[in-house]
Amino acid sequence: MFGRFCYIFYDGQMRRISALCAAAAVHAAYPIHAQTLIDATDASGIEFVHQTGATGAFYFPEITGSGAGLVDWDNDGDLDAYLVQSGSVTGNSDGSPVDQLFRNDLDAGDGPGSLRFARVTEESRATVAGYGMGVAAGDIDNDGLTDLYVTQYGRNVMLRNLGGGRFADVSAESGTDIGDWSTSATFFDYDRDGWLDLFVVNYVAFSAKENPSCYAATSRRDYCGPSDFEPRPDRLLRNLGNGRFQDVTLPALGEHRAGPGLGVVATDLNQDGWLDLYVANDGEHNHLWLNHQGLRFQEDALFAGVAVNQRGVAEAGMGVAAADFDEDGDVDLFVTHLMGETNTLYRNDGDAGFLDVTAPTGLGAVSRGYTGWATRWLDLDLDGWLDLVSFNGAVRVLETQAQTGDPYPFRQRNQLFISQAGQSFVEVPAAESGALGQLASSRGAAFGDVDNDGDVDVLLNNGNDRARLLLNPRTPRRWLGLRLVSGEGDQPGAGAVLSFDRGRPQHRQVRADGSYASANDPRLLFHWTSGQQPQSLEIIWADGTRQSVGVPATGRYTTLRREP
Amino acid sequence: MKNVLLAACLMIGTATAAESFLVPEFDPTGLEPAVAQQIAEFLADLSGQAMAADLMAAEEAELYGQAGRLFQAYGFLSQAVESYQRGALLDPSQFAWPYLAALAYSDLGQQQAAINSLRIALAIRPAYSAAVLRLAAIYRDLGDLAAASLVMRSVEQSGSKDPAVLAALGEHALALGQPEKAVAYLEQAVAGVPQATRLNYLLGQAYRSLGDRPKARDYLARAGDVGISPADPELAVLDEITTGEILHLLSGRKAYRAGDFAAARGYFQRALAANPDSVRARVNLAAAEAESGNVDQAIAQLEVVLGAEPDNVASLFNLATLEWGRGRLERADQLFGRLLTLQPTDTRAHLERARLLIQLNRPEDAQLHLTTAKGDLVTFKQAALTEIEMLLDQNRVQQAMSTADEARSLLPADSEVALTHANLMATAPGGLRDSDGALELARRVFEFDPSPAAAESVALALASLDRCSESVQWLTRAIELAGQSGLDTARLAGMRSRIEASQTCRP
Repeated sequence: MFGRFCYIFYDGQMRRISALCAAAAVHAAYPIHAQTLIDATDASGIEFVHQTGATGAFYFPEITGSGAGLVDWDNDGDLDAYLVQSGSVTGNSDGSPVDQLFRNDLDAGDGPGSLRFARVTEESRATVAGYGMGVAAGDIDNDGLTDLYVTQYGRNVMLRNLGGGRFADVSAESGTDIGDWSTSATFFDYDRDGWLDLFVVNYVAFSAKENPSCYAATSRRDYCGPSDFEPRPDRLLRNLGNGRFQDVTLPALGEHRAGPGLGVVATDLNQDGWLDLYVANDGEHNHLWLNHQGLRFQEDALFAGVAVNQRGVAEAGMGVAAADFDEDGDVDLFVTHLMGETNTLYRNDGDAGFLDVTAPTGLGAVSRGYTGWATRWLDLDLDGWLDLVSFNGAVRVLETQAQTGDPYPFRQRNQLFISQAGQSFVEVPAAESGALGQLASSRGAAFGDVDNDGDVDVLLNNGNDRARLLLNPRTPRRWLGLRLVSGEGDQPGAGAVLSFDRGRPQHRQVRADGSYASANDPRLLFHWTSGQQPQSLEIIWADGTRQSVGVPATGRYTTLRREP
Repeated sequence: MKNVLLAACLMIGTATAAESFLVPEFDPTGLEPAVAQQIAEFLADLSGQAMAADLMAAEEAELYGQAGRLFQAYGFLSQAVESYQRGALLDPSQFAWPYLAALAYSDLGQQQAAINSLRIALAIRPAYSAAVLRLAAIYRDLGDLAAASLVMRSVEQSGSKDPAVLAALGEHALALGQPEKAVAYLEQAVAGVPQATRLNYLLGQAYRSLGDRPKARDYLARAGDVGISPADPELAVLDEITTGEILHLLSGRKAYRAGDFAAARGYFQRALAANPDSVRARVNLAAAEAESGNVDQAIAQLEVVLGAEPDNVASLFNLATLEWGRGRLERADQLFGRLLTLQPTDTRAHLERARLLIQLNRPEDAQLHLTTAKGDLVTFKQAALTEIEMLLDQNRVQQAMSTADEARSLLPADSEVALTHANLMATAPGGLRDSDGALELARRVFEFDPSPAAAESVALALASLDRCSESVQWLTRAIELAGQSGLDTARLAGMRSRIEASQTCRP
């Protein structure tokens, strides 16, 4: 029955969704008895409760944070965890909660059962206070150690990795201590000078002193939306290579209409070899900054077809996921949105621009009931095709929950969409979605292989709730894990694209950005099915240099170094 | 505290005709008092009617339907659905209840239930366009283009010339990957309702699919937020039910943002009627009045606001702008001054006050505000360009050149800044003039952005080099480009005549 048609599930009913889907779905649809992700928080040692600091004043920042990071900052081969805390919008004081760092003490030899994190916030000296929003990761000084950039409602913080699990706050001397309301950020080398530059996404001009009163249709007091405030311009900071960054926003981006930005990815969207930027704006046109050879950027989202949805309506862009989901060689975009809107899938059709294929791929109606935040393309069922997750949580009071007396009526379940051979998607029903079915007000999520077993796990930050570590319980049989590094310091090969041919080429970019306000595992994972055979690997480094390498041993992670 | 309105009425109802009138539970905690009161009174009234001895099933259905409308109007969607379901059960011949239930289901994200309800409604009134188009839209949303096409076929066959229907047909054709057909429908729709600027986006995408990039860019440049919907009297009824301030404010702001100022004005007036002391309703009404061209009414509303709240910065800014527009410059300056005392970091206010002070011939004061406005990314460019203009009026060309250099270093990719710089280089006196540099810069901008302004700058640079005939050619080009864009060409034509008439054309 599942061999020929795509199905979608509503209220326990199953029905065929379209002729288009039927024609495309040559692979078996989602097997309904599969477990998806399991909640491993209790045993992991990660104990973190996010605090929005809500006091009933409905301060807008309370509803937007916070993110998470999965970053191997001690270079021991496993992913450590960073969780962004918020606190009080009107100012944290001594004793207020701070961001938390957890060291991964994974003993790879013993398998996933030995996964254990230890809280190392104090010894790391990365005690970031302030009203936290997100975290980005990148090696800013090419010493092979991953540094962190924490965005805040308030002053942002650059944490230079000193080695030995310790950090130093270099915000002021590096010139990165932007004092605005920053949400997401990404490190990328836009001018190919070998140093990672920084793009910081800013949201709106909110002041607790001038906190406006906003209301729901019911007339009940509720959180405001971005249209109640002026959007703040994003910032591009060029890494000068001497520990300092220079603000080049105006010279590089020119004058433009600022947008209330929440999500960002740096990726080559027009395949000219230069990293572009895509910014998801909340309720206004998204920005597509096309990189003109590292000299300047041109905003062209409207013409490209990624500013608004197919109907020409600007949506509330939150999180962004970028990857080649249909394996046609170019990067596609998925953006999560507000309840009442759909999430939107923009398929890259090369010279023809992007096409909003949300509805024909089965991703339209299923997302209307949710407000999506963190999102990622990941091969959850290990069939070689990229599936999709959306972590959800409302930003306006959910009347159905408020009516039951729920003190935090913003909880929604998360969603998993299984790829049907890159042509369409089928949502895994709530009852089958394991830990994803838990109700929470999810925000940021970091994605990475926490237990090094060859699949992607999730570190999830929930608003006013406990953070969760969700593990993929499957055991991949055919997989290849790759870590790309370059230079004398073995710097992570940010922005490099790896083409893996296993009978059909797959293209994946080394990236830590995307999702929402979070830093992800930059390692690359490939899976294939029994009828396929790994054949070749080609790396295109961020500066355009190509390098062919033999297929290394499978079933493990291998470090690939750039040829001198 | 959880409270069930009408609990008493429900408990004591002996229900001769209606066994019991079941109002869904809901919690009125935190509602605007006027809203809570309206709902309580409305439901009590319905409940009282339901207790009448000789109530027919259809009449009881009507009462449930009215309760549903009230709940839906205020966003209590689950309660609305529950009420409509009871109404539809008692009177299956009534169109409104399944139709409105479908809208509520859709807003709750329950699209399959919405489809079922719409199908029931359309079996009763098959020609209700708004319902038909909604059904097709939901099928499209679900990715079921075949079902959507089936629905739209009847719409197409109806031969309707309603721009909303034509727009829907165009949108459907675009979803089906039929851009030529989409263009045909959408152009008819836009011709009928030019203010529906959202359709320009769809046309832009259709032309992009057809490979006509210039036309695509032309339409996209005119794309906006104003959409078009078919007449929907059932939905309009919901709008009339609400009496509280908040909902009207929300609707008004939505209309205002979409550029529908007349509708926004109506909503804000109703919000003010609901709460005559509401400052936010009055400030918003003033903005809508101003956008509608009713400047006197706008000013009157803002004066009332400032009488009650002298420190309302939004009113100060808007009133200053309006007074300035009426030529009352000193009064406008006072208002900006008061605003900046209250909010010294407001760079937009600094910029506007600087412009006003220039008009008041107080350049030294203006300079102070321009310097502050130049310190913010958002206002830098306009502040720099204003400063250049001011300095040129004072004949301080060297200083104007410095500001242009500063603006160019920060905004090297900005055409307007580059052309201003080029024009300055072409016309500056003595050693400050750099005609070759001006020509190179203007040509570079023209290659990137072939606008009338860029062509004019090339002409100016050529004139500066005494290459008069080439200058005339470029001015002719500028006039053509301006004409194509619907811009005034008289100034350019005058400039061309002067150059043609002179032996040497150096400015």
